[in-house]
Amino acid sequence: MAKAFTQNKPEFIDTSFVQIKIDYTDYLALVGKNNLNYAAQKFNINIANAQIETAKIFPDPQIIFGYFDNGQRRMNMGYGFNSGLNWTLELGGKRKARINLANSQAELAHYLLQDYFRNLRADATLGFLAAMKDNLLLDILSNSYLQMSKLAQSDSIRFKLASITQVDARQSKLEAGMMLNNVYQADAQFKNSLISLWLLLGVKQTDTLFLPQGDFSKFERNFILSDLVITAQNNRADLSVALQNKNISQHILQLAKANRIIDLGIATGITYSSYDRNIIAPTPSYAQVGIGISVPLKFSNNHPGELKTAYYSSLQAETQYRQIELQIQDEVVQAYFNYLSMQKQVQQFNTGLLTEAQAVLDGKIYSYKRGETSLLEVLNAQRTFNEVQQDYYQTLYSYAAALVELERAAGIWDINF
Amino acid sequence: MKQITNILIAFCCCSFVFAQNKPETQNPKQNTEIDTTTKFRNTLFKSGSVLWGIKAGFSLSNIYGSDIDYVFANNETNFQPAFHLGIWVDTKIEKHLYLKHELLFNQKGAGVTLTDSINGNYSAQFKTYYLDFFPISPTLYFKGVQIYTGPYISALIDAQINRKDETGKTFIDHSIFGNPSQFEDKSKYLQKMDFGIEVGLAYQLPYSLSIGAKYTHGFFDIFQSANGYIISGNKHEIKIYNRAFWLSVSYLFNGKRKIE
Repeated sequence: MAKAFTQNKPEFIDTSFVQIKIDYTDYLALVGKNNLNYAAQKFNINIANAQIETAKIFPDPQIIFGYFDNGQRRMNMGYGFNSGLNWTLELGGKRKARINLANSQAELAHYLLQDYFRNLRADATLGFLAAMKDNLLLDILSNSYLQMSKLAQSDSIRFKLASITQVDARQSKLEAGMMLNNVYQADAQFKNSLISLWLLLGVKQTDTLFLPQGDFSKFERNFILSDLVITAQNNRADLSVALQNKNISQHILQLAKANRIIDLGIATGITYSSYDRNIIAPTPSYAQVGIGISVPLKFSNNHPGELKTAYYSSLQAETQYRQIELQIQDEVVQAYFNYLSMQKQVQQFNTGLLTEAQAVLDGKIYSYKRGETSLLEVLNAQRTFNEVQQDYYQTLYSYAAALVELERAAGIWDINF
Repeated sequence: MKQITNILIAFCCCSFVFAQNKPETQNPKQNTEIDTTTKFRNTLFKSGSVLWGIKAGFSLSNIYGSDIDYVFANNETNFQPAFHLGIWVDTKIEKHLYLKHELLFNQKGAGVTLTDSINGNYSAQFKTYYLDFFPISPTLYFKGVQIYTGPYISALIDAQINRKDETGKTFIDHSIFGNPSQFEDKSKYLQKMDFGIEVGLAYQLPYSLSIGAKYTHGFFDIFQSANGYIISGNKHEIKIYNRAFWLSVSYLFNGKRKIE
């Protein structure tokens, strides 16, 4: 199914793991299919549907069967059997209120699942982007190391040829060694990023790493802030959750009101008495048929604690709904300005910072090889070049992440790269 | 004309594009807001509450039916004063709908005419003592006024009739309640239960007191003759029934609650 590939990493980087290239579309599909937390959340739908079935239950009838003996055996007073059926007739729409509540909770489970996927999709995308970024950072450091390593080898030869001092040769070798340590550190971070994808992908194999493929050039969008806020208020599943919580609290209130209505107990039964042989008043056998009702006196209703709880919970849900509305607006505006800021930073890099840094480094190395400049200046140029490149990729990542956060906040999704 | 058509088409297209680009707040799932007023809250918390108290009063009771002269000397009866005492419970169902339950110790009776060969026709008092149970009477409450109706079932506790002996002296005869030794085709005795309906009206005074009046109408023949089938000429059903007018004062126990 999946195939291992040979990556273009230098030999000092451990490539013993099987690595599988994966693009974003396939990755997201696998997350939706295999993520265990998401799969667990899906069971909430089944549980909610089961609760609807439970809510539909009518009270069970009770069947009674008994035997009695009138005693007085000497007088032959006889014996008998009785049997009956009792059933509680729910009044006040309790069953309907229960079903409405269960339906609302089932709907809530759907919204919660949507919201969970909204966050999962964004978190999975951020994980994917972080792995891409860490891969690029590793490339920068390993390239820098290779460059410095070549320089150190060259310096070693130049020292033997007495072109440079031994101190300069040692210095370049030392710098190369330090850079290799940085490479190892970046490699560990990269692998950790890949490993963190296991959790999202629901992967059990510990010898396989998924290597994200993509580029950071597809994250430019133009948004209108006011539209984003309205879209978020229309689309965000967590707002739907809050709204549904309001509905649920009102259904709980209706159920609490219904629970205060009395239920009627209906009973019917038959009693069979045997032949009564006593000499004073012999009686033939007979059967009695009876029917009756029972009405509870609900003195408990004078303490409306359940009703108060439901009422104030509904007010609480209303308040929380308004709070989430405000929170969403706040999140969207913040994410929007963050995105604009990152967009400007990326544009700043595109004005030529990278090529300038590369040109400076190339010039310093060339001059150093010709003996016109010191190693210190080369190292300084190298450090600057690395920092600019790292900042660039970090900014590209932050730009992409800002878009992810903005679309997460706005409840929209058009990210593909 | 073509120009106007083009402008209209362009306008429609612009409107469409605008509609596509400008999302509007839409919340089809929006539900109704919760009433937060104190009035609503108080009404809500009182829903289904139970009122209870005691009741006592005066009644005028009588009997009716086509067989009064079969048991007594003639068909003439008159209302007799009596009393009642008991407890009541009202369960709130809706804002103006309650279910009333009452358990009352109640005296009933009638003024009747008896006859014998010595005293001839004379007036007597027929008195019964019942435990009356009004299990479930739907009651409309509105601004302190209650109107209710429902069934009742009664258990006879005791009964008596004032007779005159050979000397003309009045004595209390309990044999009408029934006992095993009496010969039932001559001494009619009473059913041990009664069943009927009530129709009533009450007014809740401010705070804990209410006054009310009701009428009860029985449907069970209260006299019976168990040997009616055996002794020829006797009836197996004696059509005499209870009825009464009640005047009561009720006291509400759980708080000085003014009924809305």
